[in-house]
Amino acid sequence: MQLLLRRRSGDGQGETLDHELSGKTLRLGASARADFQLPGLQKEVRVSAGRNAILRLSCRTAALQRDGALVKTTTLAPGEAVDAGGYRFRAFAAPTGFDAGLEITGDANYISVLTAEVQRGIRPWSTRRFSWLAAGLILALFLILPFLAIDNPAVARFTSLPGIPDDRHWSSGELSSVHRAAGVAEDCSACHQKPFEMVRDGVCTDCHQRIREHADVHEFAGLDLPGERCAGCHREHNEPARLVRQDNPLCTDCHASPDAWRDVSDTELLAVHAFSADGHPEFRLSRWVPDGDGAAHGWRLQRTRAAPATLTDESQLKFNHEVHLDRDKVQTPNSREALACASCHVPKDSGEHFEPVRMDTHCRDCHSLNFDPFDPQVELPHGNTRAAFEALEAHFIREFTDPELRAERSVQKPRRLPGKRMGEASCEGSGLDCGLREAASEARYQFAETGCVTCHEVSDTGADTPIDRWFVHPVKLTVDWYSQSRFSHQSHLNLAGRSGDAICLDCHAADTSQKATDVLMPAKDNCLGCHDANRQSVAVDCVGCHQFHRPEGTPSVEVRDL
Amino acid sequence: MLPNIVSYARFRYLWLALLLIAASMALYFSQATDGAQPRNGGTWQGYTLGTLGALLIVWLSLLGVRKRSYRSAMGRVQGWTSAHVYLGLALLVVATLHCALQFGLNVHTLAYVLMCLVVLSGIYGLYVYLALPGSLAANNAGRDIAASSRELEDIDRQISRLAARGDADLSAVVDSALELTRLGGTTWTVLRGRDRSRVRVGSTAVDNRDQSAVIAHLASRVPRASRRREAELLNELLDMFGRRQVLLRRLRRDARLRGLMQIWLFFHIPLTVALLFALVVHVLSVFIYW
Repeated sequence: MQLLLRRRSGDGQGETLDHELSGKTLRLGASARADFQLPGLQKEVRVSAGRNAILRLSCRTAALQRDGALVKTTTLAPGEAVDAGGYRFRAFAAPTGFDAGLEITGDANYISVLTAEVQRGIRPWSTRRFSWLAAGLILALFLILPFLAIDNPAVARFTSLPGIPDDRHWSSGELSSVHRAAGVAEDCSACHQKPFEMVRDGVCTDCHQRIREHADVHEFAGLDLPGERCAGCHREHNEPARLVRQDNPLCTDCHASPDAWRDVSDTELLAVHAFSADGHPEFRLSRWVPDGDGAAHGWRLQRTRAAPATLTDESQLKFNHEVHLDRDKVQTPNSREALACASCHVPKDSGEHFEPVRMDTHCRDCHSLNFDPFDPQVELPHGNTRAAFEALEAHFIREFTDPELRAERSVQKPRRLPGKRMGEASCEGSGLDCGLREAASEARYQFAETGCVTCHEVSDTGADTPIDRWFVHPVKLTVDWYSQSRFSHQSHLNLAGRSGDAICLDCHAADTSQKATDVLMPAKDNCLGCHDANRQSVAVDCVGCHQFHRPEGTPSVEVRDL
Repeated sequence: MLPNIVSYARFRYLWLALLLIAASMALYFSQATDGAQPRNGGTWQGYTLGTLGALLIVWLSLLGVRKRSYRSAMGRVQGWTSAHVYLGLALLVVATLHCALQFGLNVHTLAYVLMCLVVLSGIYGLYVYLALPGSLAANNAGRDIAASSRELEDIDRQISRLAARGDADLSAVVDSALELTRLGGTTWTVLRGRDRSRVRVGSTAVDNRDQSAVIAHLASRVPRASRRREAELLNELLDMFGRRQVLLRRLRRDARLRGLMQIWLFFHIPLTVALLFALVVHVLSVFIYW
């Protein structure tokens, strides 16, 4: 480029000197390497040629002042001007032989440098550069790197270094404590398997394999139960952790108006709004009921919506709670104290149900099954009629066939014991005949008068052989009276101001019950006493008593999107 | 009288912002606290507040675009700025309700913190816009910088001429005082109003803050002046440096005040850009791991 440089000193009033400069890029400034000296010009200005006599001026920093703005680069057409460091650079149409003309006026004395500094104001950094830097860092560190690390092990190794953000910084909140387990907590992709896709239910059932749907999905196909995602209710990453819904709408959204969706044939589902006198139906009591006489066809679990006092226990056991709780009638074998509820009813570890009451552990101390006053150590086996007959026969045949025993027995008469039959003192006949006869009479006594019949229903079939004649009705005690609800005895055993049996008797009126057919279960009113939602008492949510994932439900692994 | 961006159209945008805050609060408190989720950004109300906040952020950022498009027919810049101020303040409430004060070491809180920094720098900007122009005008007493610098140039020329009449030692000290005067400097120097001027007395350059060293030096020479002309010269120089001192103070204070009015934008703008990108990361990351 051939540049005609016209230097005017002062404010343009002074003398004018023309210089011819050539080169691709010309430097104007105060340093020694400058092609043209401009004393006091702190930022070197570089000049190069554009097309059509247009000059391109540039500066390493934004020191060129054009139309009030500071720029790093600008172009000048003939007639246009730019200021820098006290100088004014104006392009003009150069005569033939030159590519362009540049006129420089002004003087960079220290005062103009000073005031230019003041005028320029502050510039701690380039806003634009800072913006792009911040934006680039944020994008790279918090989006691109973690995103690449999802599928790229090399990047993942890098982002796992301390101080490098990874996809855990996308987490919107802490995991609930149950999910802070190895293999889950540290690895987002354990659950979030595909980007931009909601967590699939299969991810949940991978671990929770035994979880069941709310109901049988085939029976309630119209409700599309598996259509509701696991995460629809179980929301992770929430602070404070709230993985299991506790609110009533979880249930009442559907159960407040069962008519809207239930099968018309199912009349057992009544509307529920809250746990209150009119917001919740009476409980349905579950009982085992024998099918056929003597449970000939087994047992049915019958659920009946009625006041428990109007129903009967069909367990086929005979038992009098009142007598057993009366200190004057029944005492513990060793300490001779009154029986307590807990003498027989011991809560299981779950705190909801009780260990089964058993003949051997709870009854036998008083109700021993010995039958022979000569030999009170011998007892009948319990729970097996055939074995009992065989034991009787074996016992008496042995007694009558052993000459010594037979002689001893005919001489000694044992003391008469209440509730014990006095056997035949002497018998004419063979040992076998006498033994069988004695066994049959003892059996009749045990099954028809006292013994088994004390606690059991026994039928006399009229058959010839004793083993076919007596039929002891099987017993089935109901363990879970309210099968659709959960109840913690444990948490109810510390009612204020009450202790011991008084707490039990508050809900179960055992001390006045004379028949085993009495159902001693409390009704809804009993619970409402403390838990009525309308009375600001100790409120319980639906899930306080009911489970959403019910045992009757279809296994989720069978029906969910895996 | 309140400036126009505060009272624009009879506080129209203040009322709009208050309405927005009230609506956001109503939305926030309509979230059930006993449901599947606590109050947070993941409920439908949370998503609504988040969308509102994001739209606000984008619109507030557009002020920079609107300011530059002089031919725009979309309302006056004054109106936009007024709305920018009030809606920007409302954003603080909207975003806080969106996140329901749930913070963590994550990209979501990063976006929130950036937003707070942008709003805080904006509040500072509004403060200086309201408070400083008055001080600036009072400082300049009706003169612009060009006039002041011409005056300074005039004084300095007279000082140079006077100094040339003195002995070599005097003129060296005075020339160095002029030459080593500093008005600007780094941003920090300007904002603190620090004076880094120096003067060379003998062979060492000493601190000449507020021209006091050179004035003290000249004053100390007066009693030692052997001739009357020299004493007169020194008095004249003292007079000129006194005027120079006042002028420099005014220029420095002017630079400082204008610096304080400019500095916030060096944070406000880059932080806004950073916020926009953090917002993108915030929204995308929520849906990458849905």
